[in-house]
Amino acid sequence: MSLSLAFVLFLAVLLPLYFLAPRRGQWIILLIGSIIFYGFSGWRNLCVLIALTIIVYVFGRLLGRSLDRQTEILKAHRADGSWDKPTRRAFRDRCVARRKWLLAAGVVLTLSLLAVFKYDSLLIQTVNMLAGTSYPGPKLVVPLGLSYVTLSAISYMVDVSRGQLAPEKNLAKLTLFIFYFPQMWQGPINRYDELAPQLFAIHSFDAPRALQGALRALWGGVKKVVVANTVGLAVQAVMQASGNLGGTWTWLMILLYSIQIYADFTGGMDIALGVSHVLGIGLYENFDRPFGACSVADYWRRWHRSMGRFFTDYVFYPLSVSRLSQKLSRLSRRLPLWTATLVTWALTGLWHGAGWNFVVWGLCNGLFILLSQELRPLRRRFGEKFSRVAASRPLTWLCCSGTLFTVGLFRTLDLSPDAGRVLSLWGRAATPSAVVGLFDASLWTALGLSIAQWGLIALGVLAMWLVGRATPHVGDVHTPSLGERLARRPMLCAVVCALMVVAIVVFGRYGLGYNAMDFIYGQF
Amino acid sequence: MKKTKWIWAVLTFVILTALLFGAAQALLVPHDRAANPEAFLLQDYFEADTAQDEVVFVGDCEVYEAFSPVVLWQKYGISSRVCGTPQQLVWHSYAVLEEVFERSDPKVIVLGVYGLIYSEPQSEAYNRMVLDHLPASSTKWQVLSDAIVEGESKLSYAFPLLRYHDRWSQLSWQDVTTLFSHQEPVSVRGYLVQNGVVAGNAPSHEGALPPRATAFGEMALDYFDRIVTLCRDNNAELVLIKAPTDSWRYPWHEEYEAQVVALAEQYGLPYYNFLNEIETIGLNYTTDTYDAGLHLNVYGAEKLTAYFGKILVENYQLTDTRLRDHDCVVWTEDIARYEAQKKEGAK
Repeated sequence: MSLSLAFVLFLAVLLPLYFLAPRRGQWIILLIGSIIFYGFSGWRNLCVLIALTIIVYVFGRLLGRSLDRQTEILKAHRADGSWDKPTRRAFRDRCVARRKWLLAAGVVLTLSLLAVFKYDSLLIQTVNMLAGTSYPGPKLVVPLGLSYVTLSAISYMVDVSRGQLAPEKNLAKLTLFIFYFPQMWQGPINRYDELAPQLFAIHSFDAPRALQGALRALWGGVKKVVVANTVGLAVQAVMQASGNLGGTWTWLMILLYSIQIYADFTGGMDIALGVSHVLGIGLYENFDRPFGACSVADYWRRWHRSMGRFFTDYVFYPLSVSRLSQKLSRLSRRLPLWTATLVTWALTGLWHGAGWNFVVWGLCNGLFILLSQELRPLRRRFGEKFSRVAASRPLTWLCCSGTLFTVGLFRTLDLSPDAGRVLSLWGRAATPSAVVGLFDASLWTALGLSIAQWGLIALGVLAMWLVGRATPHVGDVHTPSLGERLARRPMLCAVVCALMVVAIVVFGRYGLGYNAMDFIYGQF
Repeated sequence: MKKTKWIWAVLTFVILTALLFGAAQALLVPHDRAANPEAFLLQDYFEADTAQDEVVFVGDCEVYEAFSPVVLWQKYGISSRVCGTPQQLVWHSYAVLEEVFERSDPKVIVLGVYGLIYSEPQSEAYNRMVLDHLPASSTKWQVLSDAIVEGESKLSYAFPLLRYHDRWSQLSWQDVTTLFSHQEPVSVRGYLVQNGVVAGNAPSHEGALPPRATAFGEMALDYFDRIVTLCRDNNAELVLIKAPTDSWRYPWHEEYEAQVVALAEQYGLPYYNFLNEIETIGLNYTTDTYDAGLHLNVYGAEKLTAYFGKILVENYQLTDTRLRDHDCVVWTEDIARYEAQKKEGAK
């Protein structure tokens, strides 16, 4: 089903059924469709996701019941006055502790599914490294979307345990939350309180909305199949030639892999959000013009926002206010922040991939963000002293470019499990010969792309930049999106859609020996 | 917003997409025949008037390089055509024959038996040389299911642009000009003229073949059975042949031969193995091959055709079309092209 054509056929059947179904049965059509969609990825994957759903459902109900029981008993005792305040507090603490244990059990069980399929090789590799053994270990394939759905499931259980969310009593409804098909490729990581009301609401067909969704999905297709997959050829070539390129490898990867991953991830997200928009269900905006970020921290507030929000709300904040942090703050006021930030980023890295290189990647980001925070007073003073320079456009551009460069540099760690080797290549990239190497025309021709293909990539980057510029910031409700503006002119929209379809068919990279819809973030 | 506006928008989208798709397909699907003549052999067949054909040859390169319809007509008045393509396997031949019987009423079908040794799909390129040219039909769809190799998409045979779209970055001006110019057939009635002479002395290359002891596969035999039935249903005689090669490269093992003989007996079909008739035919592998013995050149093909034509006229009631004025006119053009190609080599 990950194949684009099969997916188009799937939508061609699902959409009419969804909008023609009896209003109250719409979500059931969506549930059946989502299960069928997921079923195409294999019955084993389906079993894993069903198991995850059952775990989340059971623990959600247990946590909810515990909370209800606590409220009822406290209410009863408050009414008859049989418990004094300390007794009530002691009882509440006992209930909270019990829920913590329940939540921990639910989270551990949920994560264990992910651990079995995603981190098995890392675990065995680490054991082998430490013990000097060479166990081969099983090579399990991570079920489609499991990384994303796991985080959604954890957020659901945590929110229920905090009393911020009433547990879902209908297993089928919770199943739809877990299985909802547009999020399966690469997220976004949804929250139940945001998604569920939309999933179970009644949606009638709305032509302008459908057109907006289709435009966005097609634009996503262009980014993914045309730009990302074409740049992917060059990235592959650079990977294969890494031994001969020296420090130039790093420069090439910063440039090419950044383009690839941007087109790939935002393209996939546009497809997911566009399709969901056609159904009338708005998913969380995962990007907010990340290329306009002026610092690494700002970048991570704009890139993969749903992941950032999850780790901020469910890892960073709880860590920051934990007892450990309180103890650490006695040693140094900044220590809890440093600890929470580094742990959060290490976990973010680990979530991205089952390899220590990903942990190093996460730590690099975390360290850089912390260092820039520590330098904030210096920056402030600079801003006060040279206010005109600080607010000038060239400096903003320089900051944005520097941010993209830094993030791109860190991202090269994704590409090889040997983090040490990548770090040494960073060192070699600083040499003049590495930079000069970039201007060697033969290097670019050796990457296997024709001039026409390089031209296509350049055109794609320009188009992505222009569309990005025309896209309002997330939360800006006053500026209409490009899709909204286009949808007001159906004929123009029809022409744009036709051009995008043909662009995907002609310029896209798909076909024999090529799975056009294998998303990079889908592997995380 | 008015409903009609939306209907017009949808119509615009559909029509514009179809037009752009069609234009891209015409431009990007290879259409320069001179660049790869073998790929257009069947297109020649579908563009020709085939109603008068009495003998049709199907099979692989051993067939379309071994029989010259011009010689058959000049010597015996037989109106024939070759529908061979590179590595045409039995299921391909079956699909081709379905179309042949749709368009004409041949009395004799000559099937090259070399394809029988393969029972699995072999190569996308050779699939395309047959299936890309066949019109849409249930037979084509069914054969496609059996013929495609792993990773191929059936849909790309209905919309070849899905396969050839990658060519956009290699387009040349030639692709545009050939799109709007008339292109001559690459063959003469399916026979691809090769006038080079390269004697056979290359080393053996048996590794590319199925093991000699391999029994013919289920799929090959199933399609062979369908071919026999198809010919019988259309009152055509099926003749099996093994073309002569200096078989150092793709040998014809005695195990293969035994199985073909058994099949011929089982179905009551005539079988001619020309490997046993090299001397009688007068073939000389220092002058009659253009690729060191693997295929016959035009001189070898003329000898073999002359020999086989005699067999055909002696055993089947075929019309001598040389006596018909209309046929003479049609053949004059083919003969002229044949003679020109014989002199200059195939274009």
